[in-house]
Amino acid sequence: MGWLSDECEARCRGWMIAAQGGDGEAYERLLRELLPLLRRFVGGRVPEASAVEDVVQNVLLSVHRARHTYRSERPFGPWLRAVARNAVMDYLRSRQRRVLRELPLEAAAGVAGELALETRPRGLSPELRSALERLPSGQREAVELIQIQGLSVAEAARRAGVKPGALKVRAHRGYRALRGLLAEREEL
Amino acid sequence: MSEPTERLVQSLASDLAAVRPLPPLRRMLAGIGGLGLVALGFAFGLRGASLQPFQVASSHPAYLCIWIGLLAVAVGGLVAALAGAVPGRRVAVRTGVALMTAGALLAIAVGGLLAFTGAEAGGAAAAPRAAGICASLALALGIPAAVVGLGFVLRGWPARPLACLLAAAMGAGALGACVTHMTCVQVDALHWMLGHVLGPLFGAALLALPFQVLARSGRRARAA
Repeated sequence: MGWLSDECEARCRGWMIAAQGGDGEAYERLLRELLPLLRRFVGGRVPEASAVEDVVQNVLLSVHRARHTYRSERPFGPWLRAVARNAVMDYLRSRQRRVLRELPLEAAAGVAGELALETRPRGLSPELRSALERLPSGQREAVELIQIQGLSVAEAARRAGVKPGALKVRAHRGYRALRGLLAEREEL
Repeated sequence: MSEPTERLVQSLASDLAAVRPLPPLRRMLAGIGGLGLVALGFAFGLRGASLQPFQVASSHPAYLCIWIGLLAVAVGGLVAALAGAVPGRRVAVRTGVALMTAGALLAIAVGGLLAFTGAEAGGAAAAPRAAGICASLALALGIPAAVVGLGFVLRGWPARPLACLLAAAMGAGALGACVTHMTCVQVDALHWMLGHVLGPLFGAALLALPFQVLARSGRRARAA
C-alpha cells in the first residue's frame, strides 16, 4: 500500500494474528512498529500540529477496537490504512462540527472567516488587531483563544478559568462587537 | 514516543483479550444465499408450487427485468453492507453499490417502463391489498437474511454505519422480494411495482433505521 514495506507487512500481519489470539507482547511490538507510520499519515492530514498525537492515539484505539475485523488471509496494510483514515475523518468531522457549533452563524460567515484568513498566512491585519484591542478583556481573550489559538470551547474555558457556557457568551459578544467595529471602519 | 501515547500502548497491550475474527465475506454471503433458498422453499410451501410464474417469466420481459434487478439489489446491497463493515474493503463496497444501483434501475426504471407500456398494464386490477400482502411477505421472507446481515454490520467496524445498515436491510428486503416475485401469480404492472419492488425496498429501508441506535450504542460500549 506504499507505506508498509513487504517485510513490515509480513511482520505486522504475524503480530496482528498473534494479537487476535491474545498475545500482548506481539501486540505491543505491532503498535510500536506502527507509531511512526501513523504519525506521518496523520500529520499529513490533520492541519493542527498540536492535534496529531491525539489523533494518533485515536487511531491506536480504533485499531484495538476493530482488531476482530482483520482477516489473516488479507493484507494488513489496506486494513490499517482504512482504520487510520476513518479515525482521521472522524476527527476532521468533529472539528468541523465544533467550529460550526461554537460560532454564531453571522460570526461564522463574517468575523470568523476574516480571522481565519487573517491569522494563517501573515498574522492579524492592523484593522482587525485594533478592533480586537478595543474589545473588553474578557471578550478579547475568548475570541483569541477560540479563533486565533484554535482551542475548543472546553480547552479555552479551562485556560480562561471560566465555565464553557460563560466563555461562549463572551466569544459571542466579542464576535458581535468585532463585526460592529469593523463595519464602522468600513463606513469611514 | 510521547508519554501519554507510551502509556496508551502499554495499557492496550496489557489489557489485550483474544478476539474471534469476523467470518470471511464469501462465507457470510453463502450463508445468506442459503437463507434465500430456505425462504424460497417456504414461499412455495405457503403459496403452492406452481409453474405459472415461470410461464409469466417466459412471456413478459418486464417480469424478468424486475426479477434480475431485485436479485442484483439483493446481492449488491449485501456485498456493500458486509464489505463496508470491514475496514479496507473499498473495492468490494464500490462493486456492491454499483450492482445495487444497476439492479434498482433495472427493476424500477426498465422493468417499470416495460410493464406499464406492455400487456401487464391492463392486467388484473391492482388491488392495494394484494400489493400489501406481497410486500409484507417479501419483508417477512427477508427477515432472516436481514438479521444475519445487520448483525454482521453491528459486529463490524463500519465507517458509515447508517449506509451499511440501509444497504444490508435493502439487500435482504430485495432477496425476500425476489422470492415473492418468483412465487406470485399476479400479472399486473402496478402490483409488481408496489408489492414486489417499491414496497419491500422502502419497507426494509425504514426497518433499518432503528438499528442505527443499536450501532451507536454498540460502538459506545466498545469504546468504554
